[in-house]
Amino acid sequence: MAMAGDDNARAVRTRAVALRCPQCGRELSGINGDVLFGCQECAMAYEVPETGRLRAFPLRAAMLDDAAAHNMVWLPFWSYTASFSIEWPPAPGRRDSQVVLPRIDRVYVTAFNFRMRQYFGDPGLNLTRNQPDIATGTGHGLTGAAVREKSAEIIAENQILSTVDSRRDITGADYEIALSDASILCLPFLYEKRKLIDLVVDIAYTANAFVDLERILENSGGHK
Amino acid sequence: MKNSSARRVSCPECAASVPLEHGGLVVRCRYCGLKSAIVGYPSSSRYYIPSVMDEKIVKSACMKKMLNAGLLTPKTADRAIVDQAELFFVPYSWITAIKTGRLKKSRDDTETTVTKVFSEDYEAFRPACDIPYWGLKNVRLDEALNSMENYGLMPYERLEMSRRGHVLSVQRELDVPRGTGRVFITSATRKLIFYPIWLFRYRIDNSIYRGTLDGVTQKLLYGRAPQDSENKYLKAAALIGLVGLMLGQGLRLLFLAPAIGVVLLLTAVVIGVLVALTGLSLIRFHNELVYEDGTGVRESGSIDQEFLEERIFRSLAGVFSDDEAARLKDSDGGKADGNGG
Repeated sequence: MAMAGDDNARAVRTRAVALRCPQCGRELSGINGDVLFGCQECAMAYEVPETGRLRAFPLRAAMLDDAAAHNMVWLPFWSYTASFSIEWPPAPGRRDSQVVLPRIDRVYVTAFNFRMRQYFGDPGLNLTRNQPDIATGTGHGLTGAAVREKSAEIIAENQILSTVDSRRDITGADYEIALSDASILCLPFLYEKRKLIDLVVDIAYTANAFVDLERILENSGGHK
Repeated sequence: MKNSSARRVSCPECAASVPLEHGGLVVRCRYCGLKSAIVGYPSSSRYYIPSVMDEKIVKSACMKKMLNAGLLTPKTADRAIVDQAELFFVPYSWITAIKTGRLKKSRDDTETTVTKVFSEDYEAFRPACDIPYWGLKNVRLDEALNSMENYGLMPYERLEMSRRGHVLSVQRELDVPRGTGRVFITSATRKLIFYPIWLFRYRIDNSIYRGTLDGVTQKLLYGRAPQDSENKYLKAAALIGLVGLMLGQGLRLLFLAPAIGVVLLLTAVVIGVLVALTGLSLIRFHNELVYEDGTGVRESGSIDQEFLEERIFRSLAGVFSDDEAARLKDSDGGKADGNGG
């Protein structure tokens, strides 16, 4: 699997890639530093790769009743359908063998620049562990998506293993993980008193952990 | 990393030349208006943080900071005259990434190993230029960001920044480290942050000293000051007196109670040697006090001011004249980068 660091090491010709929707021709939304740009009309997100052509992913947004409130920031996550199987070698007398493993149907990976995970936890991992039922729709722009799909896949696999490991030690276990239906999902965060509250799972994070927050706010038309 | 890449690309729509501004990896063609993303550009996107202080505030605050740090006594502070306070935007290379993977660890109580899944922030923030004696390594981005009411990263605006202060050139950028085995360093972003540092110069008895202030947290990062020699001479005189007294008493006791006399004499000799060494260092080094955030105040020999000036100004952009730039460039084999990278 490739690492993000490889992108820096590879010698790539400097060039400009037109940020225009291949389907409708409209200008794609996104800010400086983003690697994904969105078309609100076609509900598609496009990853600009270092080489080759744009990669397209469905762009969805959560449909929440209270998401129309003021001071709302929409932040992108990678979303995958996940299936995994895990088997432990027979170990008679092992106490955790009866533990019921968590159900993980969807994996969410934070797609915006986020720091201070060690203090607040990772927003994507918190969603994966909570497995919320999120009704999704279309018609939302994309801003602040700075994590490539390849990176997201690596993180997603480790999120599944980490979630299982939090219930039962994965040492020596054989596992298979399949991720499919990669898409970008925009979720609403309530912005108040220098905190952002994830309205889906009701977890608050300090605004300082969101590296590009000011520019995301500016480019999404301020507080909606 | 040296920024030697092309500074222009062709617009994919009209083929017009699109200049690559340092701050932007998303650009707009000035002819056809097309928005484009730049790929393969080997430099980071650039931002700056404005200073929360102006020159007047720095000039009035710096001596107080030196006093609080224990570098100056109220007496020496009264004699100090602040000549100059200048704002510099110092480039810092900032990498944020996620370190994730699986690690095998030995259990404490048994010899078996367990596999642990982890996911944590990887972050590095280092000066992207080399200036000694400024305390640049003591800048903490976390502290700065937490101290600001609003998130303070502004898009790089060379002109705007130059109006406020000197913009230093980038000498090197950090590279994203590679993962090993089952540990991945992923989702890495590299940024260049131009951080505000105030350099102030002040005079005490015709000697020039300097210090630097963090333009965001207002902390003293580095400072030099003359050592209070009056106290030192007094202490030395008191010690010499004490040694003399001990020697005299030792000699007297040598005849009355030889054992105590020998001990006293030896002690006096040891203290005498220490006093001599202290006096020697005082005369030899013309001692100064140095404050560095994180390590506190320590004594130091005075530094070569000429060497210091050259090292500093070699890193500046647009501060020195063309002649000076050419001279420095010649003397450094053309390594100096005077145009801001």
